[in-house]
Amino acid sequence: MQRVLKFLILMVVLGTHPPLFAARKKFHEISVHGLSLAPNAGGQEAYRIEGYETPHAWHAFYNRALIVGKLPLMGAGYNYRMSVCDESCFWRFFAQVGGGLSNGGPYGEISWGTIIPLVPLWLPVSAPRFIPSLRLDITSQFYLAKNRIITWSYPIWAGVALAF
Amino acid sequence: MLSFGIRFLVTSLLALGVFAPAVTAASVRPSVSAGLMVPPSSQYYHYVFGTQLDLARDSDQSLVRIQYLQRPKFSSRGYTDQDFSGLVLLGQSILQRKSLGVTSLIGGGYAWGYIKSETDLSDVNSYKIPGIALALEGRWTTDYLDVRFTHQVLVGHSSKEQLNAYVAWPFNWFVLSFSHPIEI
Repeated sequence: MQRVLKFLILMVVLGTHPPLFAARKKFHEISVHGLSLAPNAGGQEAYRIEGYETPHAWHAFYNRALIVGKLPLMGAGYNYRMSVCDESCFWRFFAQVGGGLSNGGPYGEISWGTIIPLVPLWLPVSAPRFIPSLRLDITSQFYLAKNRIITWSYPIWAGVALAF
Repeated sequence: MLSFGIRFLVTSLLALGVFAPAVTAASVRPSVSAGLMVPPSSQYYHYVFGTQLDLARDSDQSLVRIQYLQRPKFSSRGYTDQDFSGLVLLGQSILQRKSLGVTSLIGGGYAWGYIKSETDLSDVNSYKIPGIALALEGRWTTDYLDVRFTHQVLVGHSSKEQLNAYVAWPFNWFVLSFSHPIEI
């Protein structure tokens, strides 16, 4: 049993060691967001899918808590990711700036995010690939709608990320 | 004797060069700030002003900020209201292009405020919410002037009941700050 455990730990350590990925400069990731907190009871049921390739992040989202006309708010856009602690860190932290188009009008977006691998070990190694991670974002969006800017926040937006 | 002295001097200088701490530039930036604030559950933009003090090292390689902002008193229909915030933030430059750059900050603090009747002194409603704060700012720095445009958000602490109902209190600020960096 101990041998198996040691082998697994060794595999994780080797699998996430930076030099082994030195040839692969690009880091890819897909993340999906679900529920977000909100300044109203019930939070907001807001879904988002994001694809990331260093340093570009493309996303589409759908927010059932906000209605535009008769449809939920939905949109798609681009973010540029600036890392505080990048893929060389086990626990990543970053800021994203971007914008996009939605049925509520064009929007700008600022996000702070953290990605925590769901491995019950704190390893002093880089971000592991192929291991599901918890992603937590604090996002603010700024909609240009009817000659004014509307600010809307996702105070804590939870999701899952998978790097590959 | 002379050659020993020269060797001693050279060796000492080399040792100093190896073991001496790297020279770093640090600066203090007392700033004046003004901007807009968006409280939770509101789509109104309120004017805010205040001040902040930055202690920074090597073009924001590390940064400590103390910030205070307040909204001027507003009176309407016999009531007066006002909001304040105080934050402590730690920051780091995440993008640098000559005199331009982007700094990311994380920290915490309080947002507080009140609404009170102008005639009935007992009619006061106040709040004070602690929370985590995050900021992202663009900066333009010269030897004499430092200008920053910051977006910051404070996610106010929710009670257990509020958290069970997925409630959180996001405050947004857009702040323009001016300072004269003082090298220390």
